[in-house]
Amino acid sequence: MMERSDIAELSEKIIGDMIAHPSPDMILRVTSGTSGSTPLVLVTEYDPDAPKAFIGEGFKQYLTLTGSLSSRLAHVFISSRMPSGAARVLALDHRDLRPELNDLLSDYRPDIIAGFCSYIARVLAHLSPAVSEMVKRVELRGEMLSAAFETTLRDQFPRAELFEKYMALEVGGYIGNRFCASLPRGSFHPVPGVSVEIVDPDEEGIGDIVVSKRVFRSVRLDRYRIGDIGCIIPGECACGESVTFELLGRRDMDHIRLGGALLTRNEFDRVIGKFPDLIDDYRVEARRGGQATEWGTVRLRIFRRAMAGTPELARELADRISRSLFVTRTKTFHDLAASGVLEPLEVVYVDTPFERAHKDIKLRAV
Amino acid sequence: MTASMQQFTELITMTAEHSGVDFYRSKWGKERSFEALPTISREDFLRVPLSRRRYKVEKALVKVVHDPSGVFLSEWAFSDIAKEAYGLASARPLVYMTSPHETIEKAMWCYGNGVVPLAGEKDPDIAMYAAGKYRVTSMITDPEALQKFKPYFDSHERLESISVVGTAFDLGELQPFRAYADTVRLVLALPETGAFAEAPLSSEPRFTALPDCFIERDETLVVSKQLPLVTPIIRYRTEIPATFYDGT
Repeated sequence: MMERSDIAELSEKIIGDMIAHPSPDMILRVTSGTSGSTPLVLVTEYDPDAPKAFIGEGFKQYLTLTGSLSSRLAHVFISSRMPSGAARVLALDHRDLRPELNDLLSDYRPDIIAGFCSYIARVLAHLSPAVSEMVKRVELRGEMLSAAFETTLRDQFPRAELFEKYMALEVGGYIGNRFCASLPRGSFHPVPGVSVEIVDPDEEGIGDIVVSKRVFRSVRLDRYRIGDIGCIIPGECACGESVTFELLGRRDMDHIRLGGALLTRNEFDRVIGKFPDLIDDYRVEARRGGQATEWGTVRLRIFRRAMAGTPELARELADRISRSLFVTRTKTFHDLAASGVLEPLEVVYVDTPFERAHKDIKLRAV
Repeated sequence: MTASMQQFTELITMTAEHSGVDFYRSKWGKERSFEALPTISREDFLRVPLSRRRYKVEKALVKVVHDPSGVFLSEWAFSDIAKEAYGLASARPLVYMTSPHETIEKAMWCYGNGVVPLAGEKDPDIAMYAAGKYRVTSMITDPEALQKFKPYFDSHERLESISVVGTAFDLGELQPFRAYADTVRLVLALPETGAFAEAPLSSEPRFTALPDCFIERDETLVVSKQLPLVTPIIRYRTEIPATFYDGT
């Protein structure tokens, strides 16, 4: 089994090989370090034989909304190599998100938008209904797609097909695609050349996603534990694909185990979404174990643009959220706090917005 | 008529007669003589949407250009980016610019010239870390970004070249960088015009026009380029004082 430390070592070898035997069909990428680890410098080979649907062949006006510059460059580079027709690519930066952008995008008229959910969410306000109507495809990557945001996207882009891509830079890009119309949100078929398995599954079959694939010349990743949690969906898909897996999130970020409790980003999004007037943004810090409890403690920090809430309101919210938040199949946070295995949920209001990293990470084990 | 003027005449005719867009035609009226054409400026780029300045359709990069007066789009065909003189030949170039759009464009210049670039991330620590891993041999940068990169040079091998791209250069601040590369060159360029002049870094740099570029000295520099770009550059009035170009 390979871990991230193995990838760091492997990336050094690959760069050495690339320097010794250069080729112009390479893409250098730098991980953002969002997950708290040292950044990696990775080399990806451009694959001219990749299925054209995967890279948006046939579209004319690309709008790319990703974080790192190296990812944006990769997208631009791939666009420049597409074999057919003329295509333009505009890779927006956060600094471009100002009122004048509305007019620029009305002039540019993207027909495909690709990027992180949180980044796309910020750009929606800059797209007029007429421009949104012209978008034929939205490709999501890098972050979990929530049910609420999927609905938002379908409303905003009535004529667009919605595709999810499961990617990781350290494995050289694509792992899975949700191009198949039969797949629900967050489920993928592995792309050709990639094998996916689940290791250390719990009683529900949820475990670590492990990936094997060729990443560079003759270098292969052999059973790399990618750091995400998921499960295999049994049976053959209606489209004929034999392997389907569900991505449940980043271990210790979107998906945190505290003893027998499972905190998930999706569940927090669902419950927090019930309080739109009281909560504009939130972050969860989970700490395993402790002196007072067997399983751990959870602190929910919330931000409200209009005005920070009072301590009384925070206490009321803590009670209402913990009674709605399921942390096992049948038990809420409140149930487990009442039985003493978890500390009662702590809720605090903060005065300033949360810092935004490349990715929109809301849960974190500390 | 010189061959160069002949090329400009052809470009002017092609631009004026373009059936789809009228960016230049509306400015020029019936005038077609190069010397008599009214100049254009950034104000025109800010005023006229990209779709009305697009004179050819090719695979292209579209950039957002920020100006104190607003923002506008600038489109560059990949084939044209490759012809610009942003950097010098080198095995492992680093592109580290203040504007992310310029970083992407200069990185595509590297690809267009057959080498794989490292696009320096905004965070200078991450950019320097990655540059060390890639053992970069040259750098395309701008005056502001270069200053952020200074710590890198104290602990790494001397580069083959540093190309500093911009419209104004503080020579006092740049002089120390001569110790960090065999060649340090200054490249006059704007996001919408591309590069048009270069000079080796010295105490009194003397700029020379780049191939296919024609520079007139008025109070400020007026730039023309012979290549048929997505938005051709014909008598573009910069805000760069003519004295600067003379090196005085």
